[in-house]
Amino acid sequence: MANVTRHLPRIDDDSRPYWESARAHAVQMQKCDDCGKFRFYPSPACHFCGSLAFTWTPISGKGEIYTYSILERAKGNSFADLVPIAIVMVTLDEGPVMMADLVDYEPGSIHIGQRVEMTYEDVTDEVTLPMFRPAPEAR
Amino acid sequence: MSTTAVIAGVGKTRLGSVPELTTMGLIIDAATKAVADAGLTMRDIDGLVLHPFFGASPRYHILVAESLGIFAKTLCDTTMMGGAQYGATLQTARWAIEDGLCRNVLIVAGEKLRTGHDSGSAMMAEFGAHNLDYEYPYGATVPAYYGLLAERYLHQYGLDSSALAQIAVATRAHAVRNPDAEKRDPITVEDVLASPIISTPLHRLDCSLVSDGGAAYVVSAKGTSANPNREVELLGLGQAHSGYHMGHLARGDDSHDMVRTVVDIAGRRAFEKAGVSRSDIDVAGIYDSFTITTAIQLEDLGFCGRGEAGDYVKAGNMDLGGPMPTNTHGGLLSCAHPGACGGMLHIIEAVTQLRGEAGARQVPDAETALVTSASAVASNYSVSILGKAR
Repeated sequence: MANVTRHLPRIDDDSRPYWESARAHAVQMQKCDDCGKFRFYPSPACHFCGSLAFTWTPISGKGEIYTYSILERAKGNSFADLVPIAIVMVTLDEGPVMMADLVDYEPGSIHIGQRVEMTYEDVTDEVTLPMFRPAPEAR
Repeated sequence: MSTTAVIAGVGKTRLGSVPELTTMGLIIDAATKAVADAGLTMRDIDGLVLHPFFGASPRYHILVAESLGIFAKTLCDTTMMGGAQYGATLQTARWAIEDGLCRNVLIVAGEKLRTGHDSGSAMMAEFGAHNLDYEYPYGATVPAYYGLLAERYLHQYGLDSSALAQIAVATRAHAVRNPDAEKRDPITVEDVLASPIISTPLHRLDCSLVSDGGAAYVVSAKGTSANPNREVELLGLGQAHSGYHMGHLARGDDSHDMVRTVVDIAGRRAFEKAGVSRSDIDVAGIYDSFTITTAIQLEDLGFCGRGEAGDYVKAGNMDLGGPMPTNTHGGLLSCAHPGACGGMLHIIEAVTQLRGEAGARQVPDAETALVTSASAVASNYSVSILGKAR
Protein backbone atom coordinates (compact mmCIF):
# COMPACT_ATOMS: atom_id res chain seq x y z
CA MET A 1 0.00 0.00 0.00
CA ALA A 2 1.36 3.40 -0.94
CA ASN A 3 2.41 5.84 1.80
CA VAL A 4 0.60 8.96 0.59
CA THR A 5 -0.96 10.22 3.79
CA ARG A 6 -0.01 13.64 5.01
CA HIS A 7 0.30 14.07 8.75
CA LEU A 8 -2.64 16.23 9.80
CA PRO A 9 -2.34 19.18 12.17
CA ARG A 10 -4.19 19.11 15.46
CA ILE A 11 -6.70 21.95 15.57
CA ASP A 12 -7.28 23.61 18.92
CA ASP A 13 -9.02 26.69 20.28
CA ASP A 14 -5.98 28.90 19.59
CA SER A 15 -5.58 27.83 15.99
CA ARG A 16 -9.13 27.08 14.85
CA PRO A 17 -9.72 30.48 13.13
CA TYR A 18 -6.51 29.99 11.10
CA TRP A 19 -7.45 26.51 9.93
CA GLU A 20 -11.02 27.57 9.16
CA SER A 21 -9.72 30.46 7.07
CA ALA A 22 -7.51 28.00 5.20
CA ARG A 23 -10.53 25.79 4.55
CA ALA A 24 -12.27 28.88 3.15
CA HIS A 25 -9.23 29.43 0.84
CA ALA A 26 -8.75 32.91 2.35
CA VAL A 27 -6.09 32.69 5.04
CA GLN A 28 -6.22 35.06 7.98
CA MET A 29 -3.50 35.60 10.57
CA GLN A 30 -3.38 37.39 13.89
CA LYS A 31 -2.47 41.08 13.69
CA CYS A 32 -1.51 42.58 17.04
CA ASP A 33 -3.80 45.44 18.07
CA ASP A 34 -0.95 47.08 19.97
CA CYS A 35 2.21 46.86 17.86
CA GLY A 36 0.54 46.09 14.55
CA LYS A 37 2.71 43.08 13.69
CA PHE A 38 1.39 39.89 12.14
CA ARG A 39 2.43 36.69 13.84
CA PHE A 40 2.56 33.07 12.74
CA TYR A 41 1.82 30.51 14.05
CA PRO A 42 -1.40 31.27 15.98
CA SER A 43 -0.93 31.93 19.66
CA PRO A 44 -2.70 33.96 22.35
CA ALA A 45 0.06 36.53 22.83
CA CYS A 46 1.94 38.67 20.34
CA HIS A 47 5.36 37.15 19.62
CA PHE A 48 6.87 40.64 19.58
CA CYS A 49 5.24 42.73 22.31
CA GLY A 50 3.32 40.17 24.36
CA SER A 51 -0.06 41.85 23.97
CA LEU A 52 -3.12 39.63 24.21
CA ALA A 53 -5.14 41.92 21.93
CA PHE A 54 -5.30 40.87 18.29
CA THR A 55 -7.55 40.85 15.26
CA TRP A 56 -7.77 38.03 12.72
CA THR A 57 -6.86 39.76 9.46
CA PRO A 58 -6.77 38.50 5.87
CA ILE A 59 -3.29 38.28 4.34
CA SER A 60 -2.41 38.92 0.71
CA GLY A 61 -0.97 35.43 0.28
CA LYS A 62 2.07 36.92 -1.41
CA GLY A 63 5.67 36.55 -0.40
CA GLU A 64 9.09 35.38 -1.46
CA ILE A 65 11.07 32.19 -0.95
CA TYR A 66 13.56 32.43 1.94
CA THR A 67 14.81 28.90 1.45
CA TYR A 68 13.69 25.58 0.03
CA SER A 69 14.57 21.91 0.01
CA ILE A 70 13.31 19.21 -2.31
CA LEU A 71 12.63 16.12 -0.23
CA GLU A 72 13.45 13.01 -2.24
CA ARG A 73 13.55 10.27 0.39
CA ALA A 74 11.23 9.95 3.38
CA LYS A 75 11.31 6.28 4.35
CA GLY A 76 9.25 5.48 7.43
CA ASN A 77 6.94 8.46 7.06
CA SER A 78 3.25 8.21 6.14
CA PHE A 79 3.88 10.51 3.16
CA ALA A 80 6.96 8.68 1.86
CA ASP A 81 5.40 8.10 -1.56
CA LEU A 82 4.49 11.77 -2.10
CA VAL A 83 8.16 12.55 -2.83
CA PRO A 84 9.58 14.58 -4.39
CA ILE A 85 8.12 17.33 -2.23
CA ALA A 86 9.34 20.91 -2.67
CA ILE A 87 9.34 22.31 0.85
CA VAL A 88 9.67 26.09 1.09
CA MET A 89 10.03 28.73 3.78
CA VAL A 90 8.24 31.84 2.54
CA THR A 91 8.63 35.36 3.92
CA LEU A 92 5.12 36.75 3.62
CA ASP A 93 4.76 40.38 2.58
CA GLU A 94 3.09 40.87 5.98
CA GLY A 95 6.26 39.73 7.77
CA PRO A 96 5.99 36.21 9.15
CA VAL A 97 8.02 33.37 7.67
CA MET A 98 6.03 30.19 7.20
CA MET A 99 6.63 26.72 5.86
CA ALA A 100 4.58 25.16 3.05
CA ASP A 101 5.12 23.21 -0.15
CA LEU A 102 5.64 24.75 -3.58
CA VAL A 103 3.30 23.39 -6.24
CA ASP A 104 2.72 24.00 -9.96
CA TYR A 105 6.35 24.89 -10.64
CA GLU A 106 8.76 24.08 -13.45
CA PRO A 107 11.36 21.55 -12.22
CA GLY A 108 14.65 23.31 -11.65
CA SER A 109 13.01 26.74 -11.41
CA ILE A 110 12.78 27.11 -7.62
CA HIS A 111 15.11 29.77 -6.28
CA ILE A 112 15.64 31.83 -3.16
CA GLY A 113 14.01 35.21 -3.62
CA GLN A 114 11.35 33.84 -5.98
CA ARG A 115 7.99 35.63 -5.68
CA VAL A 116 5.15 33.28 -4.76
CA GLU A 117 1.41 33.40 -4.07
CA MET A 118 -0.70 31.26 -1.80
CA THR A 119 -2.83 28.40 -3.01
CA TYR A 120 -4.54 25.56 -1.17
CA GLU A 121 -4.64 21.78 -0.87
CA ASP A 122 -7.86 20.33 0.53
CA VAL A 123 -6.47 17.31 2.36
CA THR A 124 -9.66 16.27 4.20
CA ASP A 125 -13.11 17.76 4.78
CA GLU A 126 -11.74 19.50 7.85
CA VAL A 127 -8.14 20.26 6.93
CA THR A 128 -6.90 22.45 4.12
CA LEU A 129 -3.18 23.12 3.93
CA PRO A 130 -2.04 26.47 2.55
CA MET A 131 0.50 25.99 -0.24
CA PHE A 132 2.44 28.32 -2.54
CA ARG A 133 2.91 28.49 -6.29
CA PRO A 134 5.17 30.78 -8.30
CA ALA A 135 3.61 34.24 -8.69
CA PRO A 136 2.56 35.07 -12.25
CA GLU A 137 5.55 37.38 -12.72
CA ALA A 138 7.91 34.65 -11.46
CA ARG A 139 6.87 31.68 -13.56
CA MET B 1 35.84 17.88 50.89
CA SER B 2 36.07 19.12 47.33
CA THR B 3 32.88 20.02 45.54
CA THR B 4 34.55 20.69 42.19
CA ALA B 5 32.70 18.53 39.70
CA VAL B 6 34.59 16.21 37.36
CA ILE B 7 33.71 13.47 34.92
CA ALA B 8 34.79 10.44 36.95
CA GLY B 9 33.73 7.62 34.64
CA VAL B 10 32.37 6.95 31.17
CA GLY B 11 30.88 3.91 29.49
CA LYS B 12 29.26 2.94 26.23
CA THR B 13 27.70 -0.17 24.76
CA ARG B 14 28.55 -1.77 21.45
CA LEU B 15 27.29 0.57 18.73
CA GLY B 16 25.55 0.03 15.40
CA SER B 17 23.32 -3.02 15.37
CA VAL B 18 22.61 -4.43 18.85
CA PRO B 19 19.54 -6.64 18.46
CA GLU B 20 20.19 -8.67 21.60
CA LEU B 21 19.69 -5.77 24.01
CA THR B 22 16.47 -3.87 24.66
CA THR B 23 16.52 -0.12 25.23
CA MET B 24 16.60 -0.68 28.99
CA GLY B 25 19.30 -3.30 28.41
CA LEU B 26 21.45 -0.71 26.60
CA ILE B 27 20.90 1.82 29.40
CA ILE B 28 21.86 -0.71 32.08
CA ASP B 29 24.94 -1.84 30.14
CA ALA B 30 26.23 1.71 29.66
CA ALA B 31 25.48 2.74 33.24
CA THR B 32 27.21 -0.30 34.68
CA LYS B 33 30.31 0.37 32.58
CA ALA B 34 30.49 4.05 33.53
CA VAL B 35 30.14 3.35 37.24
CA ALA B 36 32.83 0.63 37.03
CA ASP B 37 35.05 3.00 35.03
CA ALA B 38 34.84 5.45 37.92
CA GLY B 39 35.79 2.69 40.36
CA LEU B 40 32.47 3.16 42.15
CA THR B 41 29.45 0.94 42.77
CA MET B 42 25.80 1.63 41.97
CA ARG B 43 25.29 2.22 45.73
CA ASP B 44 27.47 5.34 45.39
CA ILE B 45 25.12 6.92 42.83
CA ASP B 46 22.77 9.46 44.41
CA GLY B 47 21.67 11.43 41.33
CA LEU B 48 20.38 10.29 37.95
CA VAL B 49 19.59 12.20 34.78
CA LEU B 50 18.18 10.53 31.67
CA HIS B 51 18.41 11.72 28.06
CA PRO B 52 15.12 10.26 26.79
CA PHE B 53 14.64 8.01 23.78
CA PHE B 54 11.63 8.34 21.48
CA GLY B 55 8.50 7.20 23.25
CA ALA B 56 9.94 7.23 26.76
CA SER B 57 7.23 7.76 29.35
CA PRO B 58 7.55 11.03 31.31
CA ARG B 59 8.87 9.32 34.48
CA TYR B 60 11.19 6.85 32.74
CA HIS B 61 14.13 8.08 34.84
CA ILE B 62 12.42 6.44 37.85
CA LEU B 63 12.24 3.14 35.97
CA VAL B 64 15.93 3.37 35.12
CA ALA B 65 16.81 3.99 38.76
CA GLU B 66 14.67 1.05 39.83
CA SER B 67 16.30 -1.20 37.24
CA LEU B 68 19.75 -0.14 38.47
CA GLY B 69 18.80 -0.72 42.10
CA ILE B 70 19.22 2.94 43.07
CA PHE B 71 16.53 3.55 45.65
CA ALA B 72 16.99 6.91 47.32
CA LYS B 73 18.44 9.71 45.21
CA THR B 74 18.50 13.46 45.66
CA LEU B 75 18.29 14.26 41.95
CA CYS B 76 16.28 12.27 39.43
CA ASP B 77 14.95 13.69 36.19
CA THR B 78 14.56 13.37 32.44
CA THR B 79 15.90 16.25 30.43
CA MET B 80 14.02 17.66 27.44
CA MET B 81 16.52 19.80 25.56
CA GLY B 82 16.90 17.62 22.48
CA GLY B 83 20.39 17.48 21.08
CA ALA B 84 21.51 20.35 23.32
CA GLN B 85 21.27 18.16 26.37
CA TYR B 86 24.53 16.19 26.16
CA GLY B 87 26.62 19.01 27.60
CA ALA B 88 23.78 20.78 29.37
CA THR B 89 23.33 17.84 31.72
CA LEU B 90 26.98 18.18 32.72
CA GLN B 91 25.89 21.61 33.99
CA THR B 92 22.96 20.13 35.89
CA ALA B 93 25.24 17.56 37.49
CA ARG B 94 27.80 20.25 38.28
CA TRP B 95 25.18 22.33 40.10
CA ALA B 96 24.16 19.29 42.12
CA ILE B 97 27.76 18.45 43.06
CA GLU B 98 28.79 22.03 43.85
CA ASP B 99 25.72 22.58 45.97
CA GLY B 100 26.41 19.37 47.91
CA LEU B 101 23.07 17.94 46.78
CA CYS B 102 24.69 14.86 45.25
CA ARG B 103 28.03 13.06 45.48
CA ASN B 104 27.88 11.01 42.26
CA VAL B 105 25.49 11.82 39.39
CA LEU B 106 24.86 9.24 36.68
CA ILE B 107 23.87 10.65 33.27
CA VAL B 108 22.67 7.92 30.92
CA ALA B 109 20.86 7.20 27.66
CA GLY B 110 20.18 4.42 25.21
CA GLU B 111 18.15 3.98 22.06
CA LYS B 112 17.58 1.43 19.31
CA LEU B 113 17.17 3.52 16.17
CA ARG B 114 18.40 0.60 14.05
CA THR B 115 16.83 -2.57 15.44
CA GLY B 116 14.21 -1.20 17.82
CA HIS B 117 11.52 0.32 15.66
CA ASP B 118 11.07 1.85 12.25
CA SER B 119 13.86 4.06 11.09
CA GLY B 120 12.98 7.26 9.37
CA SER B 121 11.83 10.58 10.58
CA ALA B 122 8.36 9.59 11.68
CA MET B 123 9.54 8.91 15.15
CA MET B 124 11.68 12.03 15.28
CA ALA B 125 8.69 14.16 14.43
CA GLU B 126 6.60 12.68 17.17
CA PHE B 127 9.45 13.08 19.58
CA GLY B 128 9.22 16.80 19.14
CA ALA B 129 12.26 17.39 16.97
CA HIS B 130 10.08 19.69 14.95
CA ASN B 131 6.59 21.01 14.79
CA LEU B 132 3.76 18.62 14.12
CA ASP B 133 1.04 21.13 13.30
CA TYR B 134 2.58 23.79 11.07
CA GLU B 135 5.62 22.12 9.54
CA TYR B 136 5.53 18.30 9.56
CA PRO B 137 2.30 18.23 7.46
CA TYR B 138 4.41 19.68 4.64
CA GLY B 139 6.85 16.81 4.73
CA ALA B 140 9.43 18.36 7.04
CA THR B 141 11.49 15.38 8.11
CA VAL B 142 14.68 16.05 10.06
CA PRO B 143 16.89 15.83 6.93
CA ALA B 144 14.47 18.21 5.18
CA TYR B 145 14.90 20.71 8.01
CA TYR B 146 18.64 20.60 7.64
CA GLY B 147 18.26 20.74 3.86
CA LEU B 148 16.36 24.01 4.23
CA LEU B 149 19.18 25.31 6.42
CA ALA B 150 21.89 24.09 4.04
CA GLU B 151 20.27 25.58 0.91
CA ARG B 152 20.08 28.97 2.61
CA TYR B 153 23.69 28.65 3.81
CA LEU B 154 25.05 27.70 0.38
CA HIS B 155 23.03 30.48 -1.28
CA GLN B 156 24.09 33.12 1.22
CA TYR B 157 27.80 32.39 0.83
CA GLY B 158 27.82 31.47 -2.85
CA LEU B 159 28.92 27.88 -2.22
CA ASP B 160 28.08 24.46 -3.62
CA SER B 161 27.63 21.13 -1.86
CA SER B 162 31.31 20.23 -2.08
CA ALA B 163 31.91 22.65 0.81
CA LEU B 164 29.80 20.45 3.04
CA ALA B 165 31.14 17.21 1.59
CA GLN B 166 34.60 18.07 2.95
CA ILE B 167 33.26 17.55 6.46
CA ALA B 168 31.97 14.06 5.67
CA VAL B 169 35.33 13.14 4.15
CA ALA B 170 37.40 14.42 7.09
CA THR B 171 35.14 12.72 9.63
CA ARG B 172 35.26 9.38 7.79
CA ALA B 173 39.07 9.53 7.84
CA HIS B 174 38.88 9.49 11.65
CA ALA B 175 36.44 6.57 11.70
CA VAL B 176 38.93 4.53 9.70
CA ARG B 177 41.09 4.44 12.87
CA ASN B 178 38.25 3.64 15.30
CA PRO B 179 37.33 -0.05 15.72
CA ASP B 180 34.02 1.01 17.33
CA ALA B 181 32.93 3.00 14.27
CA GLU B 182 30.44 1.51 11.83
CA LYS B 183 31.62 3.10 8.57
CA ARG B 184 35.37 2.69 8.14
CA ASP B 185 35.99 2.84 4.38
CA PRO B 186 37.58 6.15 3.34
CA ILE B 187 35.42 8.35 1.12
CA THR B 188 36.06 11.25 -1.22
CA VAL B 189 34.09 14.40 -2.03
CA GLU B 190 32.97 12.66 -5.24
CA ASP B 191 31.62 9.74 -3.19
CA VAL B 192 29.58 12.14 -1.05
CA LEU B 193 28.14 13.97 -4.05
CA ALA B 194 27.33 10.68 -5.77
CA SER B 195 25.39 9.31 -2.79
CA PRO B 196 21.59 9.63 -3.13
CA ILE B 197 19.95 12.97 -2.34
CA ILE B 198 17.84 12.75 0.80
CA SER B 199 16.61 16.37 0.75
CA THR B 200 18.43 18.97 -1.30
CA PRO B 201 21.25 19.82 -1.03
CA LEU B 202 22.02 16.99 1.44
CA HIS B 203 23.18 13.63 0.14
CA ARG B 204 23.06 10.46 2.21
CA LEU B 205 26.71 10.85 3.18
CA ASP B 206 25.93 14.35 4.50
CA CYS B 207 23.58 12.74 7.03
CA SER B 208 24.28 10.91 10.27
CA LEU B 209 23.99 7.17 10.70
CA VAL B 210 21.04 5.40 12.31
CA SER B 211 22.29 3.19 15.14
CA ASP B 212 21.62 1.32 18.35
CA GLY B 213 23.65 2.24 21.38
CA GLY B 214 23.86 3.38 24.96
CA ALA B 215 26.22 5.69 26.81
CA ALA B 216 26.74 7.05 30.31
CA TYR B 217 28.94 9.34 32.34
CA VAL B 218 29.37 9.69 36.08
CA VAL B 219 29.94 13.22 37.37
CA SER B 220 31.43 13.32 40.87
CA ALA B 221 33.29 15.54 43.26
CA LYS B 222 36.97 15.75 42.32
CA GLY B 223 38.99 13.03 44.01
CA THR B 224 36.02 10.69 44.54
CA SER B 225 36.87 8.15 41.85
CA ALA B 226 39.25 5.23 42.20
CA ASN B 227 41.81 6.92 39.96
CA PRO B 228 41.81 10.73 40.19
CA ASN B 229 44.42 10.88 37.40
CA ARG B 230 41.71 9.77 34.97
CA GLU B 231 39.18 12.36 36.09
CA VAL B 232 38.30 15.05 33.55
CA GLU B 233 37.63 18.59 34.70
CA LEU B 234 34.70 20.75 33.61
CA LEU B 235 36.63 23.92 32.75
CA GLY B 236 33.72 25.85 31.23
CA LEU B 237 30.15 24.93 30.34
CA GLY B 238 27.79 26.98 28.17
CA GLN B 239 24.39 26.50 26.62
CA ALA B 240 22.01 28.53 24.47
CA HIS B 241 18.51 27.82 23.25
CA SER B 242 16.67 29.69 20.52
CA GLY B 243 13.77 28.71 18.30
CA TYR B 244 12.01 25.59 17.20
CA HIS B 245 9.84 26.59 14.23
CA MET B 246 12.02 27.42 11.25
CA GLY B 247 9.95 30.54 10.67
CA HIS B 248 11.08 31.87 14.01
CA LEU B 249 14.70 30.95 13.33
CA ALA B 250 14.51 32.85 10.05
CA ARG B 251 13.33 35.93 11.89
CA GLY B 252 15.97 35.49 14.61
CA ASP B 253 17.03 38.53 16.62
CA ASP B 254 19.48 41.43 16.14
CA SER B 255 22.49 39.17 15.70
CA HIS B 256 21.07 35.80 14.76
CA ASP B 257 19.02 34.22 12.01
CA MET B 258 18.70 30.77 10.49
CA VAL B 259 22.38 30.51 9.53
CA ARG B 260 23.88 32.68 12.34
CA THR B 261 22.99 30.57 15.32
CA VAL B 262 23.10 31.02 19.08
CA VAL B 263 25.99 28.59 19.55
CA ASP B 264 28.08 31.77 19.70
CA ILE B 265 26.44 32.61 23.03
CA ALA B 266 27.08 29.13 24.42
CA GLY B 267 30.68 29.19 23.20
CA ARG B 268 31.42 32.64 24.59
CA ARG B 269 30.26 31.60 28.05
CA ALA B 270 32.26 28.33 27.96
CA PHE B 271 35.45 30.10 26.88
CA GLU B 272 35.04 32.83 29.51
CA LYS B 273 34.46 30.35 32.32
CA ALA B 274 37.36 28.17 31.19
CA GLY B 275 39.72 31.10 30.75
CA VAL B 276 41.12 29.60 27.53
CA SER B 277 41.15 30.74 23.93
CA ARG B 278 40.36 28.86 20.72
CA SER B 279 44.00 28.12 20.05
CA ASP B 280 44.23 26.30 23.40
CA ILE B 281 41.79 23.63 22.25
CA ASP B 282 43.78 20.47 21.46
CA VAL B 283 40.89 18.27 20.34
CA ALA B 284 37.24 18.96 19.57
CA GLY B 285 33.90 17.22 19.20
CA ILE B 286 31.47 19.20 17.06
CA TYR B 287 27.98 17.69 16.89
CA ASP B 288 27.56 16.38 13.37
CA SER B 289 23.96 15.36 12.82
CA PHE B 290 24.56 16.64 9.28
CA THR B 291 27.59 18.17 7.62
CA ILE B 292 25.81 21.56 7.67
CA THR B 293 25.44 21.34 11.45
CA THR B 294 29.20 21.10 11.86
CA ALA B 295 29.91 23.82 9.29
CA ILE B 296 27.67 26.33 11.01
CA GLN B 297 29.09 25.64 14.46
CA LEU B 298 32.70 25.96 13.34
CA GLU B 299 31.83 29.38 11.93
CA ASP B 300 29.59 30.63 14.73
CA LEU B 301 32.17 29.55 17.33
CA GLY B 302 34.77 31.58 15.47
CA PHE B 303 37.11 28.79 14.38
CA CYS B 304 36.77 30.12 10.84
CA GLY B 305 34.92 32.92 9.07
CA ARG B 306 31.33 32.69 7.91
CA GLY B 307 31.01 30.63 4.76
CA GLU B 308 34.55 29.33 5.21
CA ALA B 309 34.02 26.01 6.97
CA GLY B 310 34.48 23.99 3.78
CA ASP B 311 37.85 25.61 3.06
CA TYR B 312 38.85 25.28 6.73
CA VAL B 313 38.17 21.55 6.65
CA LYS B 314 39.70 21.04 3.20
CA ALA B 315 42.91 22.60 4.53
CA GLY B 316 43.18 19.79 7.11
CA ASN B 317 42.11 21.65 10.25
CA MET B 318 39.92 18.76 11.45
CA ASP B 319 42.55 16.12 10.75
CA LEU B 320 44.84 14.25 13.12
CA GLY B 321 48.07 16.21 12.95
CA GLY B 322 46.08 19.39 12.25
CA PRO B 323 45.64 22.25 14.71
CA MET B 324 42.33 20.97 16.16
CA PRO B 325 41.52 17.33 15.37
CA THR B 326 37.72 17.13 15.39
CA ASN B 327 35.36 14.19 15.85
CA THR B 328 38.27 11.79 16.15
CA HIS B 329 35.89 8.88 16.84
CA GLY B 330 34.14 9.38 13.51
CA GLY B 331 31.20 11.36 14.84
CA LEU B 332 27.54 10.81 14.17
CA LEU B 333 28.37 10.74 10.48
CA SER B 334 30.67 7.71 10.51
CA CYS B 335 30.90 6.17 14.00
CA ALA B 336 27.29 5.92 15.19
CA HIS B 337 24.17 7.95 15.91
CA PRO B 338 22.19 6.07 18.54
CA GLY B 339 19.64 8.86 18.93
CA ALA B 340 19.27 9.65 22.61
CA CYS B 341 22.96 9.15 23.36
CA GLY B 342 24.54 10.31 20.09
CA GLY B 343 26.05 13.49 21.49
CA MET B 344 27.37 11.62 24.53
CA LEU B 345 29.83 9.85 22.24
CA HIS B 346 31.62 13.15 21.50
CA ILE B 347 31.95 13.79 25.24
CA ILE B 348 33.23 10.26 25.83
CA GLU B 349 35.73 10.60 22.98
CA ALA B 350 37.03 13.86 24.48
CA VAL B 351 37.41 12.16 27.87
CA THR B 352 39.27 9.28 26.20
CA GLN B 353 41.59 11.70 24.41
CA LEU B 354 42.29 13.70 27.59
CA ARG B 355 43.11 10.47 29.43
CA GLY B 356 45.59 9.52 26.70
CA GLU B 357 43.63 6.33 25.94
CA ALA B 358 42.63 6.94 22.31
CA GLY B 359 45.10 4.52 20.74
CA ALA B 360 45.62 4.95 17.01
CA ARG B 361 43.62 8.18 17.01
CA GLN B 362 45.29 9.77 20.05
CA VAL B 363 46.03 13.47 19.78
CA PRO B 364 49.48 13.79 21.38
CA ASP B 365 49.51 15.71 24.70
CA ALA B 366 45.78 16.50 24.57
CA GLU B 367 45.00 18.61 27.63
CA THR B 368 42.00 20.73 26.66
CA ALA B 369 38.94 19.64 24.68
CA LEU B 370 35.86 21.45 23.39
CA VAL B 371 32.66 19.48 22.77
CA THR B 372 29.37 20.74 21.40
CA SER B 373 25.95 19.26 21.01
CA ALA B 374 23.08 20.65 18.94
CA SER B 375 19.39 20.11 18.39
CA ALA B 376 17.05 20.88 15.54
CA VAL B 377 17.39 22.97 13.77
CA ALA B 378 20.89 24.08 14.69
CA SER B 379 19.08 26.17 17.26
CA ASN B 380 19.71 24.75 20.73
CA TYR B 381 23.22 24.02 21.94
CA SER B 382 25.63 23.03 24.64
CA VAL B 383 29.34 23.85 24.55
CA SER B 384 31.62 22.13 27.06
CA ILE B 385 35.32 22.81 27.56
CA LEU B 386 36.96 19.90 29.36
CA GLY B 387 40.43 19.56 30.82
CA LYS B 388 42.85 16.78 31.66
CA ALA B 389 43.09 16.10 35.39
CA ARG B 390 45.42 18.60 36.99
